[in-house]
Amino acid sequence: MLRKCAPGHELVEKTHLHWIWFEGKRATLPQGKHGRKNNAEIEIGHIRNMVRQLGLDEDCVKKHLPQLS
Amino acid sequence: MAKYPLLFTYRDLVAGKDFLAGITTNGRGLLVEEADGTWTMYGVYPGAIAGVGESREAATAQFRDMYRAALYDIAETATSFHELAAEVKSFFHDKNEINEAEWDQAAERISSEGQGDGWLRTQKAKKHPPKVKVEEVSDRGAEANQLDEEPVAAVA
Repeated sequence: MLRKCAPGHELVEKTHLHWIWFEGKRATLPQGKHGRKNNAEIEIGHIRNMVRQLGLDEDCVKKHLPQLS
Repeated sequence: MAKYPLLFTYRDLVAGKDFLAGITTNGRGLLVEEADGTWTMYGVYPGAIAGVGESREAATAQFRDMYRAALYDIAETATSFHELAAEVKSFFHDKNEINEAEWDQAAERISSEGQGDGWLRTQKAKKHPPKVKVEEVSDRGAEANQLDEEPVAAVA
C-alpha cells in the first residue's frame, strides 16, 4: 500500500517500532507479536493514524486496505 | 462514536550513550470508541503514534507503550544528549493535524455539555499547552524518578 499511496516514502525498522517518513512527516507502526517484523498483523487503528499523520489519499489507501472503509 | 480529547503528562528516564535523560511530555491524544466497540487513542502531540485495545484502558496503555518505545528507538541512534533532545522535540512537535481538528471539536463538545463523563476529570486546554522538556539527569539520583499524571479530558 505504501509503495502506491506514499511513493518515495522511507521505511526503517528500528528495535521497537517501524518508522515511516513521507513528505516531511513521520509515523510509527508496532511490530508484530513476539517481535515479528515481517508480515506483522497490525491493528487497523495504527494504520488509520498513519494515514492521517502522513496525509495519504484515502481513496488510494482503501483500494489496498478495504477494511479501512 | 464517543470521542475524548485527552491531556496527558508522561515522565520517562531514557538512557543513551553516556547520559541519562529525563523527558517530561505534556501531550494530547484523541480517545475514540470505534463502531466495532474497540478503542483507539490517536496521537495529536505527538502525532506519529496510536494505541488500540478492547477497552479504553487497553488503548491508552498501548499508546503509553508506543510512546516509550519511540523514545527508546530515538535514544538508540542518538550520539549525544543534545542530539537526543533535538530528535525528541522534533518527534513531539510532529503534530497530527487531522486528529487535532477532531480533538478541538471534542473539547468544544465537552465545554458545551458542561462536564466530562464520570470516569474522566476535565481541565481547560489552555492550562495544559503541548510541550516537551528534555533534561540531562545523570547527577540527580532518585529525585529523577517521577510518575506519570492521570489523563484528563480537555475543555475549550
